[in-house]
Amino acid sequence: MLVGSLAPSSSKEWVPALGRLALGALSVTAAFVAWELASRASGSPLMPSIGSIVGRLADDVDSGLIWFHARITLGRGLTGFALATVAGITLGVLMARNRWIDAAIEPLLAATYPIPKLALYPVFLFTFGIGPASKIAIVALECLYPIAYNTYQGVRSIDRQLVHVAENAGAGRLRKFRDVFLPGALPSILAGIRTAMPIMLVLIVVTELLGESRGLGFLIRFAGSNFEPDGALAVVLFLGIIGFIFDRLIVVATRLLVFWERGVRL
Amino acid sequence: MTQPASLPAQSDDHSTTAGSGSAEETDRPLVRIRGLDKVFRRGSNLNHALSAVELEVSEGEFLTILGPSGCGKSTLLHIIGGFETATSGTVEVRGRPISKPGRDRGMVFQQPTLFPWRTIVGNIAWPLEVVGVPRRAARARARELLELVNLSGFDDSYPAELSGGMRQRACIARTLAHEPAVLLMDEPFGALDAQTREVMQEELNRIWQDAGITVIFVTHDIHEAVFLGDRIAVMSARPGRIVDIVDIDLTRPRAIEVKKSPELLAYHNRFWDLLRDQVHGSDTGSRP
Amino acid sequence: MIDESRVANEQPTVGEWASAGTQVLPPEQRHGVLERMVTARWPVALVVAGCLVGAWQLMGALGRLPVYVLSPAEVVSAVWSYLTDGTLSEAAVVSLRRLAVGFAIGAGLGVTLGLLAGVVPLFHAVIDPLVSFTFPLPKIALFPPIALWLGFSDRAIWLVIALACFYPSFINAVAGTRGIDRHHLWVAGNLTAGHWRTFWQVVFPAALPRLLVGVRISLALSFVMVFATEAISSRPGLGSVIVESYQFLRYDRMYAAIAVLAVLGLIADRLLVWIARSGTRGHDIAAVGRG
Repeated sequence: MLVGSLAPSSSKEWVPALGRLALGALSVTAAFVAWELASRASGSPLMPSIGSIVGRLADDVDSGLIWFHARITLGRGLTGFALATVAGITLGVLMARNRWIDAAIEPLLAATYPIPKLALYPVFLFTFGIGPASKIAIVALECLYPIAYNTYQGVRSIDRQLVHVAENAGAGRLRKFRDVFLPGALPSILAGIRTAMPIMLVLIVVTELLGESRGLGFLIRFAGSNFEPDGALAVVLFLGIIGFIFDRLIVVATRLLVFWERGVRL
Repeated sequence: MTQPASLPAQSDDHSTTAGSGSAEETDRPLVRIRGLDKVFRRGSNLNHALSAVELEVSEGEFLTILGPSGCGKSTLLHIIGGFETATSGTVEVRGRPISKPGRDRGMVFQQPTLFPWRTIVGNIAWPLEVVGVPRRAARARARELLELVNLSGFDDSYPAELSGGMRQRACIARTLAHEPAVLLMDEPFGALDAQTREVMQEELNRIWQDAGITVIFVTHDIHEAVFLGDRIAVMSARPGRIVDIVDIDLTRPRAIEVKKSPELLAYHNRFWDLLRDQVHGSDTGSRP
Repeated sequence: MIDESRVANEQPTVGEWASAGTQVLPPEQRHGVLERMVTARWPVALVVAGCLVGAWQLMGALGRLPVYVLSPAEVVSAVWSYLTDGTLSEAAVVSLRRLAVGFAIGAGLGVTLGLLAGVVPLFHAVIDPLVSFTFPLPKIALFPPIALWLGFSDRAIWLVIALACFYPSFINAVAGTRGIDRHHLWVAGNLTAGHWRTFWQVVFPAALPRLLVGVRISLALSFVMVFATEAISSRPGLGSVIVESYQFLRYDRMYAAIAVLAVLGLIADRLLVWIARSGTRGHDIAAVGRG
């Protein structure tokens, strides 16, 4: 279903790998250079140079400002994400193994997938108040979907005969879950987690942009309202780096955990 | 069958030591199938896979079920194994009707079905871990079984690193690990190349003799059926029935050269005619 | 004789006629209405959904709901009244227009560049690193800086939505070109088809299913983004109606706007799926069984 995934990073064979790396570095550099040129050309304070952005980020890191807000943002985001992971995997496995749960819930999940659940955020605010709980809840709700769906499809794709083998050996439900379904569905589950991660970041930033007094989103808005584009862009840069690191972590984790599938490409 | 004293006794459904029990028990067939029917339905089409199958298997024998492709022999085996349920009729193992999978009927499938995320020894030890055997004892037993199937040395390899024939051997070892009363084999060598297949047939013969286990072996290959079996049950095309049961009078142990002997060829021709009639007799062909 | 009432709707799990997703049932569970319902699935879901909504309505009727939660009946009547008096319909049109522009630009660019990157390795090598680096950044974070240049205007919103929608479309378009069976390309080459023809008649149709997955994600994303940007900027639209209603505790208007946004999102998705299906009919026939 709505499973986003990234394309393999290989081009056609004739572009040798090293050449590609060089080309990649070149294009990223070119992008930075283009920005820098534009910034200097416009001369407007509203388009800061790379240097000032990076410098500002360094200052904020040094002063501890970034870390303070990052801890808050990531604390909430990762809590909601963890909830979504536990609930999503459980739900996905239940749906895949039990026809009744599948029949009852999967159509509802599919139907509500395209609804922008962020619109329910005000309801969450009323329910949980304006503290972290409402943000954790909305993150958990949205991230639940890709994780549950990917787990569901992952378990269903497990070779039926592996399940027979488990039953043949007299394995009970818990054992089957631990030794067959979880490892077998692991590649899909991790793909779902990789999809859900950017969703978590978007939601947490949106909720903080909307009316928070702390967190990285707030920091961006604050800098914006003080007409400090370099400050705002510094936080944006920081967010980008965090997002990139998280994504890479998941890729590495996948390679380690799914060690038996050689050439697993994410 | 060798049963090290360190392993816990299995559930009382299937004590496998031969010779125990009263004379009554040893007279009774190990597996008895009566009046087995299996019908599938898709929408409004009915698909009769099996029809009134009657079969008895004695303890310690090697029974092959021979039939044309699509005749339902796999389905029959899966019903015995408990992975499918019959529409009517009964399957009894040691006098008790079965309907679910269980450790007493060990299944070896057509494709190797090892857990790709476990090592070979981990795979074979797994059925033992399931019943609570401590890890070390389970691994030790797994290594014994690896020796039995001639795979020693590959303990810590992963299934992806092994060839098809080796993987199937590992599967056989794993199935033996739960000490089943009867081994069910569903064309296990079908996916292998001809040479490997012959080697595996010889290996299987040897394992069967060493382990003293009962085997029900399904195949469509006449040479394989005659070479391996004590008795052959021939199945008709869909809907599958047992049309004939033939005792194979080739002496044991059988070396691979037996395959070229005139006796085997005679059996082969006889079955070939039987099967050809079955294939021609079926008019529905394959896919519904 | 076979008791036909005991023959369940089931497929073989082994052998030639086996299909994926088969379930084996013990004899007790085989027949009757329940069996048919659970196989068809949607009746069960409908019953469950009906029970949930019914319980919700009951709580509302009994006055057991907190003041900020409206019962289904109240939501429906609120939707009706605010739609008919124009507030919601105007806001909806405004939001949809904004969303459409951003989506069209973003998804359109994403698909075009994605397909291009799929077939021209050089281009892929240049653009893919840029995309991969910037993908994990939540594009909504760019809204305040962009607003510094463009103000909290429609143009700023279009830009942010377009940026967000670009990525899923691009990534999936590239992925769509990846899986193309080499044989198709060889056949085309064998017939000395030109590049352009090969592209339109082989690459594009083959990439279409995957590409549409990306477009679908982009569409859903555009709804989220339009809500977020309107809520942040207070530009007129459904998003700001929701936020204003929240601030002034006008629960009925808030739920009505949320409901309208939700339904619009659903309709848009269904519309896209319907269009997509007519374009990929051959693929559906080639695929076998349930997913």
